[in-house]
Order: sequence, then C-alpha cells, then structure tokens
Amino acid sequence: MQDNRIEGILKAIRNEPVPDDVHELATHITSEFEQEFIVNGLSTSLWERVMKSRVTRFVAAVAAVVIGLVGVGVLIDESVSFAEVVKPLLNAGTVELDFVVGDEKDGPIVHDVVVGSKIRRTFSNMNTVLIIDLDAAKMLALEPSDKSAALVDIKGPVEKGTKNYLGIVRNVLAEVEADPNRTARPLGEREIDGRTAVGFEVGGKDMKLTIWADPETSLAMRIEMQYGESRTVLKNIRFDVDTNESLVSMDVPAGYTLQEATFDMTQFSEKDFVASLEVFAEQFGNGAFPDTLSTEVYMKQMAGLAAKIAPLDISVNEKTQLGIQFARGMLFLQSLDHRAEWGYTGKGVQLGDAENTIFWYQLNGTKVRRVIDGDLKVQETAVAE
Amino acid sequence: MKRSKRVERFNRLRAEHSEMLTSVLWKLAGDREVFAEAFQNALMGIWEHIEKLDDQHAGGYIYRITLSANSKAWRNRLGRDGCSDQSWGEAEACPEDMLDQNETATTIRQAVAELPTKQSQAVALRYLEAQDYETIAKQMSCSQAGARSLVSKAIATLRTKLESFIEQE
Repeated sequence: MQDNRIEGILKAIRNEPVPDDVHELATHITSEFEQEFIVNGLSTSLWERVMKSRVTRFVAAVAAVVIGLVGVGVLIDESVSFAEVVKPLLNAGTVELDFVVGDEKDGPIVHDVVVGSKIRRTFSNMNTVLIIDLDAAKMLALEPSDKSAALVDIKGPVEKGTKNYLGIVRNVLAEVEADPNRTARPLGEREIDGRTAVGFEVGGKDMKLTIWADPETSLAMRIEMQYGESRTVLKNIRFDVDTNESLVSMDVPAGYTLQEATFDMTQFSEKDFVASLEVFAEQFGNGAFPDTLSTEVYMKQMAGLAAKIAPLDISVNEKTQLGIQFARGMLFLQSLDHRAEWGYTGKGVQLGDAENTIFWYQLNGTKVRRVIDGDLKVQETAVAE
Repeated sequence: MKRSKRVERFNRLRAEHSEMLTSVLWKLAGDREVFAEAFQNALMGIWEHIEKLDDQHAGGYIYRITLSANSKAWRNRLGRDGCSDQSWGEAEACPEDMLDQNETATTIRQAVAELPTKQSQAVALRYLEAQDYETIAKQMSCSQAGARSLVSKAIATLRTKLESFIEQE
C-alpha cells in the first residue's frame, strides 16, 4: 500500500464529523462516571468492570426489563366510581405519566407514554428504554449506551397479571361505572404543585385508589394506589398528548444490535426466589437478610445489581444466570400478591441461620405453608383448619 | 491533594477538553463500542493523573492519555472478539483492491492504536489534527526534525502492517 493512500485515508478520517449520538454518548458516559466513580466512590476496578463488561450490561438490561414489569401484576376485582374524573381517564387516546413505586422521595421515577396497548417506559435511575406491547406479550429493551436491544417474552404467568398502571386504574373505574351501588368518598381539597385539587377515594378488597383532580377540568393530576403494603403514586399526568407512533414501535431502531438471546421472563419459581434471597444477603446485606422485602426493595437494589455481580469470581454464564434469577425472584414475590398469603420475617437473620424462618407463603386454596429458613432450606408444613 | 480539589480540577479539565476528547477518540475509534470504552478509559486516566495535570502542561498530557485510552480500548476489542468483523479479520480476508474505504479506515485506526505512543501521537497530531511540524514539536517537546522522523516512522509502520495483512491473504 502506498504511503499517500494511507495519508489520504487519515485525512478522510480527520474530516469525518462526529455524529450527534456520539456526542450524546460522551455526555452520558461523563455523567455516569461523575456519579458512580466520583460521587459514589466506586473503585477503579469496579468502575472498569461495570462499564466495560458486556455481561453486566446484559444483567442490567434484564434488571431494567423486570422493573418494567413492576406493579403490573396486580389484579383488581372490586372498585367504586365517580363520573367526571373517570371519563378522561377511560377515554384518553394517549397518556403520559410518571410513577414511583414505594417511597415517593427515594424510589426511582418511571415515565410512561401509553398509546393504546403499548407503553414506552423510561427510568430516572438507568438509561434503558422499554417498549411494551401488552397485546403481543412482548417487550423490547433498548440500551442506548451500547446500542444493544433485547426482546423479552412476557407470555404465561406474567402476561396474565400484566397491566399498565393506567390500565389498572381504568379497570377499577370501568367496574365502578358498571356498579351503581358504589360511590367515591370525597376527600375535599388540597394543594398539589401549587394548584388546587379535589380528591376522591375508591377502594376494594385488594386496592385503594385516591385520585386528585383539577376541579375545573376534571382531569386527574395525581393518583395514589395502595395495595397491601405496597404503594405507587402516579403523577404529572397528561391526557391526549400528541405522540409519535414510532415511540412505541417494536421495531429495533437503526443502529441498534439485537441480542441473539431472547430473555425468557415467563418462568419464575420458588427456586429463583430463594436464589434472590441469597443475593440480598451476600451482595447487599453483608450476610444479613434485608429488614423488609417487597417489590420496592428489589427495585432499589436492581440498578446496583450489575455492579455487585461484576467482580464475582464466577463465569460469565453464571453471572448472567444470577442476574436473571434475582429478577425472576422478584417476579415470584410479585406473583404471590394475588395468589397467596405471605410473610417476611428475615430482619436481623443471618444467611445460614437454620433456627430462624425468614419467609413463608401459603397459596390460595391450599392447606400447606412453604417455609424458608435462614439457611435457605424450604420446608412444607400443614396448616390447621 | 484534597478530594474536593481533585474533583474541582477534574471537572474544569474535563469541561475544557471534552470536545477534544470526543473528537479525537471518535476519529481514532470510528466505532461506538470502541469509542465508549476509550472515552471511559480517558476519563479514568485524567482522574488518576489529576495531580500531574497542572494548567501549563495539561493539554499535552491529556492528549497522551487520550491516545493511550484509545489503544487500550482497541486491545480490549481484540482480546474480547479476536478478529472481529470490524477489525483485522475483515481486512485480512480482503486483498487490497477489494478493501473499500471504510474497511481500510478501520484497519488503519487499529494500526494507529498499536503504534508506539510517540509515533501514534505524532501521526494523530499531523493527520487527524492537521498540525504543522512546529506545533507538533512543541507539543511533544522535541525538535521539528524529530517530529518529522516520528511521523515518517509511523507511516512506514502503518504501511508495513497493512501490507502484511494483504500478503497473508
């Protein structure tokens, strides 16, 4: 090859403009570096592993996917009604909203763009974008930092309980509309973000909804959902937003590479749940189980899971499986909300402690209770009538 | 140096040089994955050497950190993928007349990353930054003749590397 050809190509490289998305990528990396490495004090080796390991990105994607399912497994079977506020909630073609699962101050904020049966979901604590097609029971996870995409199958048990938050609210309200005997309890007025709002409370056996609406437009401003010990707040709600359909397209965007593997989140089991408890104790609790256990607790740890798994001295495949098992463990717990009674008693218990029970559950319609001890052994006990 | 001082200096230098970092690394990487890794390496390098980066010499030092970050990212690319579809493997599989401009550019980028540090710095300053020899010499703290020699050696090394790939085919 002649020298002048080499020089010519080098000059051509010089004249290539930097694409806009590369500038964005640089900004994103800088931001993550400053947050994780400088502010949070992540060690050099861990930062390198977190940022460079494909497997951690893979696990992070799985974690993000599962967060996409959070809260969608709630089944509603009782509710009450109030017409003025109900109508736009039921009839809006597109809705944008933010929601926070658990503690409103600490929990990551999730932003949903709901277009029919499709949702575009983004997160305040990670860059992954999820496109959820509820009709097809599929989810497309996009990771902008490395332009990777993953398809997730959510058929099966997950699909049965899958709704979007707005869908849950709509279900409640539709049932309320159909039942003239149910009414909403007025809560009076309060101020939300400097605006006056009027409140209504509707409730059933499994869920209580508190809806705060603009008294002039009747549009909901804030919805608080309480189901069991869990709480989710929907806010910054906007109706009939002019939304580009491409935002919820399931097609892999140009420039993205689709992962060969399809994540199968349709199967989760008690075994996954037990494995996730071990991860909690070993990776997040210095050997102790968490004080409480809920979807919110999983969600809070999910974003940091990749960083915890990366330095482990296990194979890539084992790391991947660990990440998936943790995610499936959360799905298992979530599934118990509507098919079992359960209790968590792991506070203060160390991993390996065979003397203390950390979790029990009893599936609806059965007379046996599955009990998990601190050594993670599972026993079955009969429940008296 | 106190941590708060380190953070302050890092943020200032990062802001001052972020355009250069992005531009140089994109030219040298030409690939988002390599770029992302190189950019992370560069930030890390700046942070680790922050105490040495006084205002007078920061520019040249950061440039060397940038080139080193790029080389490391390319090494990792090869280490992970071996002959990936956008690296040597593709170039090796094609005789010279079949290499299109993009493939050859990728091959040259990788070859630049494998050059000795001084040669890669000289060739990057000369061809990717379009600097004259006086500027190159000043930035590299050498004579103009020394700068010319480094560029010539770099081009010769690149040619040898590229020819060897073609011959292997």
